[in-house]
Amino acid sequence: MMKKILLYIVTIATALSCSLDRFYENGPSTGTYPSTPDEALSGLLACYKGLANTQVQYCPFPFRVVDQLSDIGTIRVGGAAYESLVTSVATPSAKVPGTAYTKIYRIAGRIHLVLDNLDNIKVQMDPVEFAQLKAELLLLRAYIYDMGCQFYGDIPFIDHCLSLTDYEYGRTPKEEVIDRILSDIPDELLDNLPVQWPYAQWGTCRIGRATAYALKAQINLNWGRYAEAARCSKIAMDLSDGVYELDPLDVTYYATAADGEPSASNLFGFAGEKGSKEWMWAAQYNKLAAANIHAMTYTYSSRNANGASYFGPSQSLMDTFQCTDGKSIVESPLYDWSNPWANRDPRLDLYCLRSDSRVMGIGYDLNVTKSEVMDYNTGKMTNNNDVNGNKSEYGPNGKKGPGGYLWRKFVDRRYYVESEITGTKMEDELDCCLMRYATLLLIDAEANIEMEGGDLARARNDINTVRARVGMPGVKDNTQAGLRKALRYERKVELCAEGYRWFDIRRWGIAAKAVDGTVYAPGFSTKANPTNYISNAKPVIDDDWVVKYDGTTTWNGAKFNLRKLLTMIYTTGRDEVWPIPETEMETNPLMKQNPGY
Amino acid sequence: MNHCKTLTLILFLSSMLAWTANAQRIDLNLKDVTVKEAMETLKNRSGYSFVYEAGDIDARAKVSVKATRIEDAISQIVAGQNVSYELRGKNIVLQKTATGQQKVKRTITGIVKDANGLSVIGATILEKVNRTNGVVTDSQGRFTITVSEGSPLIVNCIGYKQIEMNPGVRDNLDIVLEDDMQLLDEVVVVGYDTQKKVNLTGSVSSVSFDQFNNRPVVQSSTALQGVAPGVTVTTGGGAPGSDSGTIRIRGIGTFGGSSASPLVLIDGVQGDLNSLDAALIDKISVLKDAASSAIYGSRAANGVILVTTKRAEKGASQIAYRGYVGWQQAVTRPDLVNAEEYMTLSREATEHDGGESIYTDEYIKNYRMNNWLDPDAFPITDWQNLLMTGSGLTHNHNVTMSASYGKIRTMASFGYLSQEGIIKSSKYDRYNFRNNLNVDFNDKFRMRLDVSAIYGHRKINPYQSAVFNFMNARDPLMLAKWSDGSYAPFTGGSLNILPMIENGEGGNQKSDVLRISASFGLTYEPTKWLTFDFTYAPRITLSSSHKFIDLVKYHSDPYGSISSITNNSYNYLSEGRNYTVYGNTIFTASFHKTFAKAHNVKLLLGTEYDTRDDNNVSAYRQEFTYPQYDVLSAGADNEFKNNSGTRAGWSLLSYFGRFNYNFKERYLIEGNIRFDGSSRFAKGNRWGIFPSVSGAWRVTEEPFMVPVKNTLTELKFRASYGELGNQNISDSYYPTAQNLTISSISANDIIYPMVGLNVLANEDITWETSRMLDVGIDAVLWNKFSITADWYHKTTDGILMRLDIPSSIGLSAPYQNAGKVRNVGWEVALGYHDRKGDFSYGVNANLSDVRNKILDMKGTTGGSGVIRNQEGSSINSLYALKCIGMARTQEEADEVNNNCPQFNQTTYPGDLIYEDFNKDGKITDDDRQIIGSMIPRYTYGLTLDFGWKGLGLSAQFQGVGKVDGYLSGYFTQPCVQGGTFRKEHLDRWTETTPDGKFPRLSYASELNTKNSSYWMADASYLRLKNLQLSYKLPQSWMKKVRLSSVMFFANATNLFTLTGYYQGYDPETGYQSGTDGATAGSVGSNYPLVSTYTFGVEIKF
Repeated sequence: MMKKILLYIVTIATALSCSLDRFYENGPSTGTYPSTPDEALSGLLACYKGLANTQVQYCPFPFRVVDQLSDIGTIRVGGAAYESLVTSVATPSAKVPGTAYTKIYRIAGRIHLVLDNLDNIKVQMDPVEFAQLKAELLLLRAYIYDMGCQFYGDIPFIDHCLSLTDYEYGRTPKEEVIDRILSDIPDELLDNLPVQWPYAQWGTCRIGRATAYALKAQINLNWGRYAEAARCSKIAMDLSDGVYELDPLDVTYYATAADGEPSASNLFGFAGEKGSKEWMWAAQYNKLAAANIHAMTYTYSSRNANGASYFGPSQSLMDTFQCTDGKSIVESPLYDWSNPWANRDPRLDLYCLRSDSRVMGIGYDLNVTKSEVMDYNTGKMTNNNDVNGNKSEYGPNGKKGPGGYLWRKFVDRRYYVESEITGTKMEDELDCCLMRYATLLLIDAEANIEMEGGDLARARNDINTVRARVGMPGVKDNTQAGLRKALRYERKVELCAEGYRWFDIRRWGIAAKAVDGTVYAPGFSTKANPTNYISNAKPVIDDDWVVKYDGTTTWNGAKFNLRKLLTMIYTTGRDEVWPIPETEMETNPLMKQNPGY
Repeated sequence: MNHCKTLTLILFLSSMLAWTANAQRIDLNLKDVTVKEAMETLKNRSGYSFVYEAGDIDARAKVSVKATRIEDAISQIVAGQNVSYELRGKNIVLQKTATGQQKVKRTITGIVKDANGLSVIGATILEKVNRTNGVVTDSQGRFTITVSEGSPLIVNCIGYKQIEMNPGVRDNLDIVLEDDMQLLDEVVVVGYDTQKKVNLTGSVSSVSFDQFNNRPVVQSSTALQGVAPGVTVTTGGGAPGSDSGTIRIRGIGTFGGSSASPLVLIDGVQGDLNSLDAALIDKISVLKDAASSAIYGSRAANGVILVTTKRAEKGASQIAYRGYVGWQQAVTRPDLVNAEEYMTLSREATEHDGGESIYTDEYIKNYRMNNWLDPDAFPITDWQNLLMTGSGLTHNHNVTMSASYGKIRTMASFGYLSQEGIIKSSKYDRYNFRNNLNVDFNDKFRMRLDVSAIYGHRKINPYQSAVFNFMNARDPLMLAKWSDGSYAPFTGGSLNILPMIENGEGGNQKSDVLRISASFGLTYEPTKWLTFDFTYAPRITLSSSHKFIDLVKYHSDPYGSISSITNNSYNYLSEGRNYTVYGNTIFTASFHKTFAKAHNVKLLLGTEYDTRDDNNVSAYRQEFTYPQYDVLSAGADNEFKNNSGTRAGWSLLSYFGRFNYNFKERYLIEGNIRFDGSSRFAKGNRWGIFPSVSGAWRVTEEPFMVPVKNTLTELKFRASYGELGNQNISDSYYPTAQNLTISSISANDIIYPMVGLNVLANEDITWETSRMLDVGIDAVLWNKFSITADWYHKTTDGILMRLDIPSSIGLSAPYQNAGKVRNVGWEVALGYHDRKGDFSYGVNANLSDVRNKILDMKGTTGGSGVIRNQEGSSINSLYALKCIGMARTQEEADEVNNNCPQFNQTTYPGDLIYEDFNKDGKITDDDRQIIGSMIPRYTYGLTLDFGWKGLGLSAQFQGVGKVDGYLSGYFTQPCVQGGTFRKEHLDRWTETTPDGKFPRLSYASELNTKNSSYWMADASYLRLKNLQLSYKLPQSWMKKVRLSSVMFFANATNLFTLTGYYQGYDPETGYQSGTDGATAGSVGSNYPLVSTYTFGVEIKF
């Protein structure tokens, strides 16, 4: 009987010896990818999408948060994530540097996923098509590593997919990184690209040949390789001929909200995204694509216009704008401190928002006695949330607000209309322009000014082209120093809010003076003195167009009426770059921290 | 399992049917037969014949007999016949006792002893025909009772089986009581088998139905709260249908991605405790140590809960109804300030910031008057009362019918539960059906077929997750409704939630789950010492989710038209369907034999195959022109419509064995081994072995202990060691592989697909392994007082963690087997039960402690916010600044500013002062440290039972002796995120009240709202979890109404709580110690825990 029993047991045990494989594939997975050119293209698009960051608040690119970490921007008070970065107290656990670092290598990871396995599908592809794919991948890598070196100095140069057993890479000297990324994108490779990818199909998503050279010029310029920068920018400009050009801007001056609304939306808003000839390359946003929205307009906009007034320009940027005669406000006879917005570079009103103005059809007024403002969209008066109501403390006139001004540059009326309908304020899909023709002109100008034996006339022409668009008189100076000053004004003003200032002041070596001392904001409007937000402070403007205040000197001899918002500190030898993030330090044994952190 | 294999099994089992042998036991189970028939049956079964004189007995009287022993059978057959009996060889001699003298009283003396010949003190002797006549044995076990002639006696004592005996003509009785199974011969369910409790070598807690009998237990998981040592149950909230408890056995052994939930088996088949109506539970065994649970191998690392459902008893047919009705209300809610207080505090905060407040004295003084004149411009709103308007009505009905006829026993039940929320449009309905069927074909071959269907329908307010947050954060000056009754749009920057809650606007959300399970079992005992058991138990779970978000329009002014302000730009519907099939096949063979009347040997061998297959579909549409039709097809057929689907599955194949040996039930040893293979790991890491060994010494079984047996009824020492696994690691079914993420990108408004890798793959991961050592002691004193104590040491190794990897890898970290956690703890359970006449009482108490420590995290740290996991600390530690006081005066503030500036900000009088933990002369985030732990320590439970005649009073206390909780933001802090103030904030620092409890009010300063020990609260508590009063109608009434019993009960749960936790929040929900990824600081927005008051009745027909 025992045998019989044993037999039964064995029979049953065998019957139950079923397969242990139970793996359903729900899509492509590691190991087989990419198996077709289409899959490889999808991988490339994932790299482009990586640029379209949704964490506006913490990631410096493609958004303009870094401008708020320089002398031209202000942040709502108490934003410790940002303040520490301009007060020289940031630690390796600081949020913005950490987010940016992760983002850079996340995109690199996506690039390498395709790049590492590209040879598998080489035989299936047309050689030009193959070279284009490769060129775009390497251009993207060059773009992010260039940014990485500017942010952190030496960074690990990773050129393939890493794993748990292969990740200990120390810091590659930044010059070497730049050499490598530039040698990755030789002209022969870039020349496979079309000048511009078919617009109907790709819009501004992909890097064409003109943009490729513009990027190559920008990287060279960033690292003082002026001759090569000038060579590349010239190629880019030549390729752009007939393809890219400056868009016109409406420079009408509207003194008050009742007069009308200044707007650059045809260039920087949805109309620009769709039809501008100036946009060369942009990070793409679309509500219909997964995880592809941002909240930048929300953070920029006034409370009245459904915004959060998180970021805004500083008083010193406002005082940078020249008068229409091309002179600074301290030099120009056209300037009247009590009516400061008249006779100014039209870009002041086109790019920035000040009181007594209108944005997205809603009045913007810091005067506390004005409890209501006009909603020109409906023709009805509406509550002036910027100075009244329980959130007004976060408004530009509030204790916790930014300093009295807001950005207008990327604010499109569509945001207000849609948010009014939907009630959702944080879903914006305006693309983020990463290279526009005006930027290319200023790259070309700077390269020619700074290189030995550069074409100064060409540089002046570049600068004057940008100025002429807004009706500003041309620069007449033909000296290197004069043109350098003109260029520094032009980049500060024309590219404001686009996220270049943090890099520019470091490249020019003026960060220590720009990011140092008190940040002032307009005084509070009070019932006793409702227009106290009009600054009576007389600034000091130097040859680099850095605007400072001594805290006492005023136009009218009365008491200095600006209020202290924050004290910026810049420690030389430390604040040139950001700290290597904490987790990287903890997990990568070969990593060394930047000095001072 | 495929069909071919099923067939193999059926062939095998049918061949076993033919394999029979003679029965030896008497197993009489007769119903309503004549005495003569009963005598015949007994003779046929046992060979015993009845000898009596005709006329002495009434052979046509009807009797029912249910007995396994011959004596029991005889006394039941001749019950009420006025005869006594005597066994002579194979004859049963019946003798008529004196007739016609029933009314004559006679005095009987006697002595009551136990099986060991020791006197039983305090045994009750009752006259059967007149139960009010009774005596109790004295210190020698003696008694004297005067009874009517011929009346049998009932002898009763706690700890012993009740017996009934007919004294016949004897005046002096020697009565021997048998030990009652309840305490000593209690059988508990262990893995794949049952075991006498006294013979357990591992640590097992057993909970019987009586312990949560009449509690309004909606989710069965909560029934375990406070009743078993080492078992912690926390409830995160009271939302209808999702108020289940999180169960943790002996602390938390793992963290990060793995589940710390115990394995739950219902009648041997893996299931969800909450899918079972608590009324159907017969017993629950909790296997706590490695030796008890190792037989479940890779699934047992977090302990095992075995649930046995009720089945029909042999010979018993019964219909029973049990039902209750009651209501629920929030246990507690924050006390918020009124309008005047709000304005005063808000002004003070503004003025501290150097600002000018609109709330002047004049304004505040006139506010009520203005409110009366113009409530639209000067509103006063009580958000809590406006929003918590649900009835909280709850009622439950359960009908159970059990029948036993011959070879078939069946028990069918139907239950219905309805639970309304404390906010409107939040409701849970549950229907459950279950049928447990047993067929005993013969003594060797038995069959079980259990079928169960449960349908749960949950109606959720789509804004439910926001409402509790909303009502406690909005200040009283926000307008809810215009004076014409229409809804005002904005309140403090966000949309007014009132129309969604009060009026059900804004859509609806539903969740339906249908669980169908069947368990088919065959048991075959070819010989006395061998049993084969086969179970096939498939389960299907169908779940459906429906979420329709509709537009809510608001009025921008009273008596005006509806404005364009809506909550959303379009309405939308998303639907989800999930279809999950589980397969479970178990085969066991067990050998059980006793050699030389001393060596008891038991061997169990088995194999099990488990599968799970998931199918998900979801669909979406938006823009519903006619929102009353919330079905997909009614939505716009445009490019926004969307759908998706996935599938997944796993399988687990196991072989296991257990060996038990004991010598005279005195020395016991047990060994277990399980060999598990899982599809969730890559080939090569698939198979794991989980062994265990345990032993026990029952000291009281030693011959030398006999003299003290009267005092020390039972004493046992136990020790065990074993290894367990956890395969529930990460939420992915294939943690070893990574799918590429398919997503989309837009270019010039054209959507293109994109493929990217987000997470690094790690093929090397495998089980988490726990090693546990347990030593314990079980003792019973005076047969009434039981003590169980255990100490254990458990180490979990290879805990899956997403260890930080360098960002330069460019991918998110994969799981790695890296962490190591130690839990060391002890637990004690005490029980005492006694009866004095009609009065009975009992106490059950338990206390346990566990110290948790992370031994290894590869030098990294985990957690987010204030939650921290780091080496050397417990899981879910709180990590924040340590507050060392408050600057009460300018001098104190200056001292801080001069010596240790805080966050580069000026410290003012009334600001908190933090400890400079890293001694760098300034306070920054680097000064954060471990300030507390959210792992509950000293968890305890205390149950008191009192009975007097039909009345019963039971109180269950439960609590935690030491735990920290953390809430921040506007749940506890003033002046943050636009929140309002709480009454307790009135006690704050001001220049005139420098000793205030709370720091100075300020909107601008961030110093006082930093995460710090100041905002941490002691979340320990003592709670009267349940109080119940029941009354059972006297038996004598029952005959008149032809019912067998009627009981009424009233019950209250969460009646009161003693705690030092934040006012208005529940300490139990405040820390989410149970959750795998703990959260802190935000749980204040959870649906509050509720108190339930119910009244019910139980009727047995």
